[in-house]
Amino acid sequence: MAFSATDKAALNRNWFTITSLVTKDFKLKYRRSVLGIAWSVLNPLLMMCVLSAVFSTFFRFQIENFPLYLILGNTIFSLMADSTSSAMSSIIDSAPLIKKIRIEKLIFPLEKVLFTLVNFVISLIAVALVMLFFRIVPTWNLLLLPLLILYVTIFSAGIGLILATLAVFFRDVLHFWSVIITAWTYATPLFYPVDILPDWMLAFETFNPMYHYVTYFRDIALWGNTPGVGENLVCLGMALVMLVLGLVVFKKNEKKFILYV
Amino acid sequence: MAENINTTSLQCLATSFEEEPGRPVMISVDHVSMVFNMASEQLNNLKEYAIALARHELRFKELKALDDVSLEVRRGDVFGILGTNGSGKSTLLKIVAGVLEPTLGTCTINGNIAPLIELGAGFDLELTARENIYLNGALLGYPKKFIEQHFDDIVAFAEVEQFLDMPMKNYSSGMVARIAFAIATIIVPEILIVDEVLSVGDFMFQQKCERRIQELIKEHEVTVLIVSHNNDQIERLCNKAIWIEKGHPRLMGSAQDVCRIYRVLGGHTGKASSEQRVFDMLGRDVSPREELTRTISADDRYGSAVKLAELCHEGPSDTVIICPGEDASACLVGAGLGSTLDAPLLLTRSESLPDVTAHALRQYGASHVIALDRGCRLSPVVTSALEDEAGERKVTLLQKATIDELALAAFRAADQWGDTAVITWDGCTGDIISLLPFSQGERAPLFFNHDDGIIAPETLAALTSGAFRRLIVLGGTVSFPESCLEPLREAGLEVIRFCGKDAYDANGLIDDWIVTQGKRPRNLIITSIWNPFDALTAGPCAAASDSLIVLEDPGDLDSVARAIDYVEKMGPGIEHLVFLGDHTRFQELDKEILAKAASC
Repeated sequence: MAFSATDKAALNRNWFTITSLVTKDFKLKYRRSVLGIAWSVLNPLLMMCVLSAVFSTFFRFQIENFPLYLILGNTIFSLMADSTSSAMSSIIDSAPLIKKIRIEKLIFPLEKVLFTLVNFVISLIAVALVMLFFRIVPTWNLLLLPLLILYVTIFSAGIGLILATLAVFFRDVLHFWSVIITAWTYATPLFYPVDILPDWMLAFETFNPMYHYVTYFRDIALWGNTPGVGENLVCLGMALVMLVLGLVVFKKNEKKFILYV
Repeated sequence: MAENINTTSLQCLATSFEEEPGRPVMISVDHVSMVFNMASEQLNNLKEYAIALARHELRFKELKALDDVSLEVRRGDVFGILGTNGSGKSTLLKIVAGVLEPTLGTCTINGNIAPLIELGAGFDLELTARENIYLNGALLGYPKKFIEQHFDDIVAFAEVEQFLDMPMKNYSSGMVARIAFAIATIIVPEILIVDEVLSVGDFMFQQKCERRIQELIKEHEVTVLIVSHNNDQIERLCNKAIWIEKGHPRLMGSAQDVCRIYRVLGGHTGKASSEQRVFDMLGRDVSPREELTRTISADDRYGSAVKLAELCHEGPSDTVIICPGEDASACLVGAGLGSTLDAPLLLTRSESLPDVTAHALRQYGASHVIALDRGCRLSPVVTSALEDEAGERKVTLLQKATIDELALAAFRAADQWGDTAVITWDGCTGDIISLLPFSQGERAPLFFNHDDGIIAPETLAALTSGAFRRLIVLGGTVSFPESCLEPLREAGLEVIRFCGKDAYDANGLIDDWIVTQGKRPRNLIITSIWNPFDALTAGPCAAASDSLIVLEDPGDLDSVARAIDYVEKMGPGIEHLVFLGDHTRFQELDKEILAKAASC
């Protein structure tokens, strides 16, 4: 498919729209807070402190560098959770715009995913601080991080598009999704070691994309393992399937949005 | 009322456009229909949806917002869309702007569009104006470089230089509107869509907006599609227009023609045949006779009363009658009294004496003022003002609790009555006004029933005292059942009654009857019953100038058609058509239609 000049111009324009919206969201998020952007770093750190306090006193898991184990899983999982949740309500929230101006509707969920991604990148500072604290020497494997971020972002965008579409027609989704996210949090080994899982559960985890992404993150940042080509393909495959599914669902229904928002 | 609005096409008007091959078609709307599904029940969650689906109860009420609308806009056209609220104008604009997808038909656009639909969509009021200009520009699809280049122009046009870095929530709504308009019109689009935006902001800014649009039209040959409730604006800006009513295209043609017809027919109710009658008369090629129409109007009913009184009572008058202007029935009683005393009738407010009335009182130099008051509504301020005016003026206050008692009191206040009496019910204003030319000439007193079917004994006694030969009953069988008229017939009174379907119908009957009584009218006084207060005091003038009163409301096409019929019937014998009320009641076109009818 050849890319014509007008397509390129349209793409440029849409990209400018997306970045403008991200800038707006960013400005609004920390307006009137004293610490401002520092919260993007503080939040995961504090969360990690609470969780590691709770889990190391009550459960006594034998995990080396448990706080780092926690924060790695948590940040990457919340990238998915936050971006899908905000993408979900993006269409409904931009109803006034959709009803009044002609605009590429794909912009709204994608912008939310992108905005969460920016926050995630900032929260990586927290991860770096924790690594520094535990004197974990970064390995060359860490260079694979952008790849991982790409996978998770694509995966989240796919889910976000499906959710945004569904939410327009059934507002139930808005309420239901937080339950799913909670269940998913527990179904993914974020706070506990993988080896406490029963065999059947372990078999199930191979179908859990978030398990792959979390493990990938820990491999490159904590354990110094290099994920194989096979693992990379699995991660990318899952992300792409979700994105294609999301795009199909979204594009098929976007013309009806205006009648329901 | 709404079901009476006609939606059929009025294309009999020969204003179809000639082909203009020179100019390319910019917007082509081809047989577009838009159907909205309005869920008859609110099904906002999955469970309800599943249940309804399982029960096959998923019903939708269909709303046809647009029905087979076609139009073509060529380069340089300024195309206006007219129609009452909810007639689908904005839906059409949204389809053209590409926001909505039509259910049927196609809409083809050649060129880029700047939509001015609901300005300021996408403003975030927490952000500063500077930030919002970039954001809004981005949402409208402008490239970043473009916004940077034109940033100063936008700010200058919106006149917000000093407030650029203030959050927009602290702005006035006018400032927000100015910024929005400035951003939207900074580009020179090929097609500009304007939806009611010109009604925002103050007067100066509206003019500025209109100038900018004019500039785009004249200098850049921009094609414009515009929706406005402001008929004059459409006529001023547009060269073509379409009138849409409830989603149906009614009329398309030159803006001048469409606006003209819309002014008379738009949003007005009436039968299709009536509308056609009015439409035909409007399009008829007759130039009205010169000096046929006259208008009597003043700032308010009090001023009108003075003007009307001066028409037939020029000189000084010993006695003047004053009635509260808010009480139509009391005024009509006063009119009867005025006819027999040959005294002018003026109106007052309940709470104060209007200046114009006070001035007229002085002019007449009246030594005796009779004030009528039902239910003690006149405040002491008015009565003392009446007394104080000229020291030794005598004020007679006829004050009664009910209208029938007041009418009786007025009857007893004079003794020179004619041999015809009129009885009616409180609220039958239209009929009484219709009869005024006759009753005033005959010096007929006006009586009221006490309640539906009940005539108070005193009233009955007055009527059957032998002073009257004839009784005119205005009112239907509810107010006056035959049984309650029986004693009057027995007393030897000739009872004449008019039972019309409505006030206009009764007006026709009464006017016809007056003509059979040997009065050939020279003039017709046209007044509105929707706001009859100007007509309350028209009686003496009508009687003095051989006029008949015709009731017409421009908003009710049936009444207009009836008036046309009547005026046409009276035809060349009519010297003048006198309209009571200013342009808010009768527009020039309304007058022109009747003038044409009289000149046929």
